Amino acid sequence: MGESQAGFNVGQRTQVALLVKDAAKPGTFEWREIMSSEVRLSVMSPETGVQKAKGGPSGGPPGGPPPGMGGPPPSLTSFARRLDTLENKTVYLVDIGFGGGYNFMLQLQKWFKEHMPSVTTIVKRKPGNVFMDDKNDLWEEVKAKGHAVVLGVAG
Amino acid sequence: MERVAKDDPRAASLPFIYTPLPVIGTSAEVLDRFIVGNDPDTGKPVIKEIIDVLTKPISKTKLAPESPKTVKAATPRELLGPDTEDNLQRLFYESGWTDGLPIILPTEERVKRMLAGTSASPDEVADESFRFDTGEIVQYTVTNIAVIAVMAGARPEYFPVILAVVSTRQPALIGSTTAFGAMLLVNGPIRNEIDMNSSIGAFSPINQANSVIGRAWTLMSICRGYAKPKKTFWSSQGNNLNYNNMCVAEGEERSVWTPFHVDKGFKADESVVSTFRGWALLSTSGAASHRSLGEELNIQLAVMPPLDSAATIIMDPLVARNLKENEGFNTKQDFARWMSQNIKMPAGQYWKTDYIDMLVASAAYSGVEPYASWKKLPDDTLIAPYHNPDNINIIVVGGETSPLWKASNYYYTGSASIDKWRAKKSSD
Repeated sequence: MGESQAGFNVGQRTQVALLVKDAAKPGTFEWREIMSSEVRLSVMSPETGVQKAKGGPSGGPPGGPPPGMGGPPPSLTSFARRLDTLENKTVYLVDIGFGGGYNFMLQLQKWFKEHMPSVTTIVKRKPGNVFMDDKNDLWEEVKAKGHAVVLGVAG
Repeated sequence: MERVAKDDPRAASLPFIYTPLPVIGTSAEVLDRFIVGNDPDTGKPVIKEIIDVLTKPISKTKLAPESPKTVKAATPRELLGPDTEDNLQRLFYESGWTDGLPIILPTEERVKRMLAGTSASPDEVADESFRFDTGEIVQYTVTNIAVIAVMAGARPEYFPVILAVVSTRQPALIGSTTAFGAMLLVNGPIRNEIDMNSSIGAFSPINQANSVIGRAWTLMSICRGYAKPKKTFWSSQGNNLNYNNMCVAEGEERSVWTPFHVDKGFKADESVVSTFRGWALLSTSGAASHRSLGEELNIQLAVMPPLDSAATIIMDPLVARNLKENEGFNTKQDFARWMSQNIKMPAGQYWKTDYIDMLVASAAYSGVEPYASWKKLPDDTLIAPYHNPDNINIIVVGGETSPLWKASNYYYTGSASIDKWRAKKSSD
């Protein structure tokens, strides 16, 4: 016959080839591919998991949502009425405690002194953890003595 | 930046004003320029926006903003394909499920073989975690974890360790703008049974179990959506230690001190994983010929002030033996106490470290000692910031070819038993 058939797995590909005589070169043989197909795989997704619930308020990781995340958005009707003017008003400049924030508020205070001297500005640092809400006297003080508040800065 | 803030439904109606970055570390003159300069998001002067926000009526769009698009997780398909290996590798990478390196494709057969590595039921819930991208709490079964173990290249006998890591509920990656590193330590008999490296090159990429178990921890975080840049992942520079999270076994046999898991209350013959997290890791050249180890550590740890007195020192068995036999520290607790009393830094240096100011000052303001007292000290007064020796972790790892150590501000985040996840032996 002078021919021989064989199947190979080459990497991801299955090949079937014939070993045939090379007519141009008597005494030599060569493989001729007659069929080739790539292996196709089904695999399991790494994203599967069972959704349990939307995250609710929690003390934070591990496992649950971090502090402040997962709860409902704030009530839209709770925003304070805006001021007509800042003239003769008291504005609290509250640094949340992130690096650089306090210095920024000091410079903002300086700007008001130079350009809007009738505005009283009070720079405060939020006393609690930088990443968490504070249930403390500062917000009460702002409500009692202030007309507005600028809160920040991070980064 | 605005788009990011508005992704959070709680922030959708709040007025945000932005300055250029960074604010941290900039001079008063630069901050002045930021205040009168333009908001990079709107192109309007920052100070004008501040005044407008305080004095202009709230627009209807602010009061009833378009609801941010909540991305509810689609019910994932359990089976993907059939497709070629090249296409599936590309799918996994482009779906954000890998660390960029090729993975072992999790065919059902491979996952089944992985499940044989544990006695836990495939349907048992092994973990529950919060998805920052969808706001959902998702439960993961042992089978879900097995898929990721296969992807990482784990052998079935590694699987109980991976399940124990998962049970700590500590992610390898977290959404900080900083570059947290994590560490994973294995103690107990399983270390030797699965050929983990605690000796020469224990932290080097030369051991399958160390490499793969640590990688599985990171792939877990990635597949849970913790690594989506500017969505859930913010680390400005990132940390290449997260490729395998310094996964290592303790060299218990060569240590002159108690193993770490025994210090944490586990039995010596129990197999345990422990996790750590921190920012700074200093790998020394082992130089302590002109100063004692204590003096060297005093210098090295001064550049990484601790959070809550936490430090993790990983020392070669040669170092531990020298401390015990030649310097009189019979236990590692003795040495931790020495460190807590003798490592000093000026109060000003401590408080002017940004993360200390951000994360510890609030404790000082609320009267927690010793921070409240330290806050009142002149800048040049020396304090002992490692005031609590219980938070100084000492681990023994190394091949005894050189008296090396690594000093870090990594803090201990928890331990979990591996044994409950192990496959029952046929004789059991």
